[in-house]
Amino acid sequence: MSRDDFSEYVAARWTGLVRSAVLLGCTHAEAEDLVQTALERCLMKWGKVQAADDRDAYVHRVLINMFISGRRRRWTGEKPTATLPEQVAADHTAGIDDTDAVMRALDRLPSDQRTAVVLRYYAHLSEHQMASVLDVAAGTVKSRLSRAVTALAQDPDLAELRGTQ
Amino acid sequence: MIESHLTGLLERAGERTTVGPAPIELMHARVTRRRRRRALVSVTAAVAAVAAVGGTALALRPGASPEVSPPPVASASPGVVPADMRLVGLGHAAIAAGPSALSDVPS
Repeated sequence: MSRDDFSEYVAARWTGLVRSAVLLGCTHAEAEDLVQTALERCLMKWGKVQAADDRDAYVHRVLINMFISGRRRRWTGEKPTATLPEQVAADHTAGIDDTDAVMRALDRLPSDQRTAVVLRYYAHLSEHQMASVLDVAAGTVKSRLSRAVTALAQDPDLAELRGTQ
Repeated sequence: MIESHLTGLLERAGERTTVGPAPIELMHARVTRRRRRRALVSVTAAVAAVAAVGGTALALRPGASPEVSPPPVASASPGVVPADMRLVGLGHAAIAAGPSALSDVPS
């Protein structure tokens, strides 16, 4: 039954999906909202998800599309102003531990490269799956990953973390 | 080199995020509500479409055109005004008034 199937899928993937969204750049609350909305959208057409060759790729595709369109909406909501408002930013004062270093390094990547890194090295999608999720050619996935890995290898925070600096 | 570390680094970074249980029942409830709303909208749209098509078909069926009544015209000439009355009016409108009604009207 699709209800049980969906419940089982969500129970198994919820934590990983929320953490993926956090690594993509969402706050914790945003990540839970994003994943919940993406999963609800999948549930609306669960038959299609079940029929898909790769459920994880399908769900990640919905998640990434919603994440990107959410960021796009936020961008269009911005208004120019003469004085800069007080900005809300992630708290990086908690100390230089590996998590902060990783998050700072990810923050410095362009969004397409960051998405590629999270999908490949956290969600463990193959390059073929990533090409399907991101709706780009496999070569594009490879080049994004290559550029991202090069940037991360040169990142001072990660270099410090690896003890190479 | 970095590639071999990335998975571990990302997993450690992800683990720092404490994730609560998935709101599965809430998701089911919201999707059920959305499906019902969507079905209601579909039924309403279908009924509206059927009503529009049916109404148009009824209006256009042969012999269904209503008789067009001639537009109202101004009343005909008042004809002969009785001797003890006279026409009183303003612009194109006039009434026949008797002597008692005319007592206050300047001649």
